[in-house]
Amino acid sequence: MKRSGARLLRAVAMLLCCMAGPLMASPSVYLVLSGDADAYMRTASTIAYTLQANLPGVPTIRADVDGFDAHTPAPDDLVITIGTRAAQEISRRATGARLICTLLTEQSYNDLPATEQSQRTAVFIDQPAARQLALIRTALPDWSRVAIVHGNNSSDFIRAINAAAPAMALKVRTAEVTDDQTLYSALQSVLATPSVLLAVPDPKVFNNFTIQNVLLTAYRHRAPVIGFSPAYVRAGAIMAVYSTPEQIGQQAAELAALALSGKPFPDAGYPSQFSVSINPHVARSLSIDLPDAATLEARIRRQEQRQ
Amino acid sequence: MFARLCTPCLLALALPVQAAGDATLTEMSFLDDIPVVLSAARLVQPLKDAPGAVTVIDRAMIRASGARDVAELLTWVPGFQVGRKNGATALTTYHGLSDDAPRRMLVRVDGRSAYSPYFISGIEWAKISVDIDDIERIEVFRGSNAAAYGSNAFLGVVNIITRPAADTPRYRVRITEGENGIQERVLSTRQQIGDVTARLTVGRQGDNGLAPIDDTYRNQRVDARIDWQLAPDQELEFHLGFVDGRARTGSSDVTDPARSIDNTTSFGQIRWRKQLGLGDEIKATYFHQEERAVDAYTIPFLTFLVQQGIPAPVATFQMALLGIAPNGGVDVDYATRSLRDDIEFEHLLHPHSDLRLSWGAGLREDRVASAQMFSTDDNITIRHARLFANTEWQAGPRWTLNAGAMLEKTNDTGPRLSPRLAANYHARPDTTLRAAVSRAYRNLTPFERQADLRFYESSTGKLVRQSFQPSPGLRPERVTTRELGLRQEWRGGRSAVDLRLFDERIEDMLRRDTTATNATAPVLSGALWNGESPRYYNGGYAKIRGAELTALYRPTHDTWIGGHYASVDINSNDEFADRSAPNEQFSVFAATELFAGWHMSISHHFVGSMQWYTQEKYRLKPYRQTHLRLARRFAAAGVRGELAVGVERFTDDIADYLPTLTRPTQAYATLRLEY
Repeated sequence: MKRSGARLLRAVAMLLCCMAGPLMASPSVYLVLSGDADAYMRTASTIAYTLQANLPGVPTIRADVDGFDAHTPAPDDLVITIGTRAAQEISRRATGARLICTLLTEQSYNDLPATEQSQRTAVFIDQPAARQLALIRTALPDWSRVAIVHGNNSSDFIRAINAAAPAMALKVRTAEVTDDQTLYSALQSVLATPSVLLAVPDPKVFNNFTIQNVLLTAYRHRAPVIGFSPAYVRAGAIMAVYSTPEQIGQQAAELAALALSGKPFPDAGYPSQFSVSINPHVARSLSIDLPDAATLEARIRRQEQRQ
Repeated sequence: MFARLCTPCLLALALPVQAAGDATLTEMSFLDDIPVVLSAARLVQPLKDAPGAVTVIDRAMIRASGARDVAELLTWVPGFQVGRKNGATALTTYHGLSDDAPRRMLVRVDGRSAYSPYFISGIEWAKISVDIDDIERIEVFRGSNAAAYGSNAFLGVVNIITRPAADTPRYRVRITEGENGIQERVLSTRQQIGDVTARLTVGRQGDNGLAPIDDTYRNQRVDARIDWQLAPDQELEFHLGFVDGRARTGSSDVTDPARSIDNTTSFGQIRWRKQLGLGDEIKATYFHQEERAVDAYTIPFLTFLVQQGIPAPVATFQMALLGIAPNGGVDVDYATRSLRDDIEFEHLLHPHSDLRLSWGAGLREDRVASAQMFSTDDNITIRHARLFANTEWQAGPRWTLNAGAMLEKTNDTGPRLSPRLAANYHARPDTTLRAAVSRAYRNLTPFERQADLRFYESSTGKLVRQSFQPSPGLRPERVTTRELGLRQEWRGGRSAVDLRLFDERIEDMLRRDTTATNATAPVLSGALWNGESPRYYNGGYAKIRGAELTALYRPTHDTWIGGHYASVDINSNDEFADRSAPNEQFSVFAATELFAGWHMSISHHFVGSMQWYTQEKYRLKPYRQTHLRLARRFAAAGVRGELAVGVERFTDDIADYLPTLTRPTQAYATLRLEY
């Protein structure tokens, strides 16, 4: 009995060595999280799950950015950062491994220390301007004016919206919140004529405190608000287009699989998958008939595929 | 008193001011929860789906009207009668049936009943602490709405919804000066400390009242709202208010001498609300309210007799015969005190995507004391319990059905059910036909049931007269309403035409008769009083029929032209009721931005002949009034301002309460500054 046990152990050890050889030779994927927020965890889980399903031989190693040793990854390993802080830290420490940044804004990505383009790419959390305008066009065909209030950091966003609007037959009216023009005045000026208010992810203008003013002022003007997250829809925006951590994680995993198969990194870009949320109660109160969220998603997707 | 009260509050709120959020854009902007702002309770039911005719007056309209109190704004609502009893007292009623104590409609401020069923008057506008600039909107439900709001919503409801604390300027100042002593000073501040946002508004207003009488008044108000966001889906709201009023009243008549009446009203309300999902919520509200009034004077007997035309020596002799001391008289003390506690729970849910249900229950206790009015030093206690449910069912794209009921019980009356059923048919998306039928009861006030006004001569202790006696065994008044409506909307409801045809039948309506007193106390003199006094009985009925047409064209938020026409016919076995509302009244109002920054508004109202009291001498002539207002808005260095000048009753004086009491043409200027 003793002898047979020893034989079994030897056999298992042999088997493990045989398996470990190719494993150690294949690159690893490191998931570096900016913290323990629920969204980071969900993104990491989706990436790990998707990679496991498609490339069962590739190990995924999850780490917190604070406990992560920059020397651990080998040059042919992949690092996927989740959140801005992880992207900043890993870029600063220059691990040498290729880097996919997720769950950060386009602006945060552009602000990272420069590196070779082939070494780094990203899936942003923001949505392309055209997609947001497509949502307005699709859901609110009777509305032709888009109102925006923004701070001085949103010039890129405003430029992109202005560039995309004519193709959708939308007129854009913007007002900047400055020391001289308060949020109230800016809202009054853009909402003077019936318009859809497009919320800008600019925390100087849209934050937990101002959101009350924005949503109530817009509601008072009977202006539907387009948010940029599902929380906005719960709070009182009529709808929003956004990408969930799962959708971003899925796309990051696909990028990782491509990279591991030897393909070069594509340019950093917006998420290809997205969701639409609507608030039927707000819509009804404003006497607006909205298609359901799935219909809107499908229509925008078709529109994007045609282009 | 006022200064003492305000200073610590202002200091407490002025200290910590938090910067508005983290200014760096990160992914958390996309991922974080944010507070629910447009909760189901804040959303307005689309008017085309409402179970009746609703008029909404929003902030832009309130500002453009130049109104200094809410009561004046009701001239914009068809079917409402507005009068001024004196400078401090506005009277409002819907479809008449009111004397100087309107009690057949309800006013609610943020869900808190401002109906004071304590003594005589139901709605005492001057006791509402909320400032007109803190009002988000006013929704006026024309017609009985007891199914939703209980028995005081007998013929109509005015719902005042205030702005959340966060949605107000950090500082606001309003100063009004005008003819006839118009003076108003209002200061408001909003501060944020963490998840708590607070607004404090203090104000003082007054004027010289009506031309022929001494009725100058001054009110001082404090109103606070504190919103505490416990979690993105959970909020605590605190409302606090205090009004201190002093008004001149009386005349040269010794039984109603010139004097000042002081009254104070204060309340505190706490409301907890929690969102349970998109559109579902539960809320619990408790409030406590206290009202006190001081009004005491003495009627010297000798002077009284002399005023009756009796020569002084004869009067002195008569007094001696009756055993009255030379300095004898009647001590009158209308001091009143009333306390109210009210608790309510409400649950709003959507069991199905096209079904909305709100149900709840509440308890209220009123404790009322006035030795003069009730001839007892004891509290009169009224306990009231209610259970309600209202549903709205979108029965397909063309039909909306509203059904609801309120079950109420007080310690005076057994359970009464006030149901309502309404069907709205959307012939086209913007064209709605509606039909509604409802039954409602009005629980009677302590005054109506138990008034026992006795006046004793102080030196003999004998009863001089009883001017009202208790009316035991009264039943609540009952109204059955049937109505048809037609509504056409444009631009998502911003512009609309709405027609309401109504038939309101009131049964068991209170009437007065005069009968032998219930008092057994020795009477001073049969020559002064014949031993009879008035009381109420359920012998009246009134059939109110008519039509109300409203129209509003509003191309932009600050530009509109609108108007209304109301035709009301009251048929009653009570002569008073028949003429208590004008047969015809109409209004037109318009506002526009003339040039950039220059806003003008104008309103014109016609009110046909009516009377607040039975006697022919109180009949009011038809009158017209025109109000004009011109405002210049400006903004500089983060400060927004508006300087407005206006003229009320531009063309002529009017009398809207008694023919002898005229309200003059008066001009005013208002400066508003907001930071």
